[in-house]
Amino acid sequence: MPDTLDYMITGYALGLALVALIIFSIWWRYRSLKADEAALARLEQDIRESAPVKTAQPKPEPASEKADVAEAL
Amino acid sequence: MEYTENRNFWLRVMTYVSAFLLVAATIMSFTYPGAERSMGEVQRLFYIHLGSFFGSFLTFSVAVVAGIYYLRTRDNKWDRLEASSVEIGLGLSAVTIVTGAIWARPTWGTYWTWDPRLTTIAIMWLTYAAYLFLRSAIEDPERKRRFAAVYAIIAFSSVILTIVIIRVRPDVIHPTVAGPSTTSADVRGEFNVTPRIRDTVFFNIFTYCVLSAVLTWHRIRIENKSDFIQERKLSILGNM
Repeated sequence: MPDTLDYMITGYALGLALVALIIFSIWWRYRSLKADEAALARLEQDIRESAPVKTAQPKPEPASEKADVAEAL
Repeated sequence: MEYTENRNFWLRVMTYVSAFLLVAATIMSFTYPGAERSMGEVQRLFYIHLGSFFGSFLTFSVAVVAGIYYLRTRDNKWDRLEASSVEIGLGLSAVTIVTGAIWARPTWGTYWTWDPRLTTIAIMWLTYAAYLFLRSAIEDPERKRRFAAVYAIIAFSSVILTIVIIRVRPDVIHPTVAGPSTTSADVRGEFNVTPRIRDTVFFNIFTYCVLSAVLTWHRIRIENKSDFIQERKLSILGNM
């Protein structure tokens, strides 16, 4: 029987390394997307917090009333 | 699209199952069948080689079905499935090519020869690599999806050719373990399949098919999350 153990070890090492590379690539991309998602969530929160607080504004006078005042003056 | 807790749970379960199967299949390949008489230990590469080929065959077949469904329904979920399947299939067929080349060195005396089978699998790999490059090169999303679906359907002919070539060409040196072949066993580096070898082959094929399905599922999740983030970015920009 020929001694081909080295080839078998090399073959399995490379084959399983390629499988590991596929898994790592998927994990890395998912991790990057999770980081993007967290950054977006922070950005959304910042926008919400920095938006001006709406207070009750005085009600503008109707146009007809303004015209009456102008006529009276 | 965000994944529900239930879907995440099942994906996690399947991930653990496939990891267990991969470890079990590798240990089984090293221990269960004995070393082959004429080739020695290197014959054990046959298990990962055949398993990864069937895994890639499954994903490329799924890509064809997804391509057909996309063209019929124009639903983006089929496009995501198709792109994910092709990517995983390409990775697994790289495993097939690499392990085959290392097996060939002590058996045929060379890592690579332009044997019809090796030529067709190289064409198959390059065809699907081109799919990913061309897909990323098209800007218009609708046109990209349509083109990718048609390409995935046509590209499957390279997979069929790879399977059929060893059965129709008499000058092939690649082993034909199952089914008819036109070449003689002594030319091909044939070996006798004992029940232990057969069981290990089937277990590896099953393992790599499960692994390819789980990896494709994970890859689809990335596509879904990417789309979801893109929508959120547009929504934030719209509100600014």
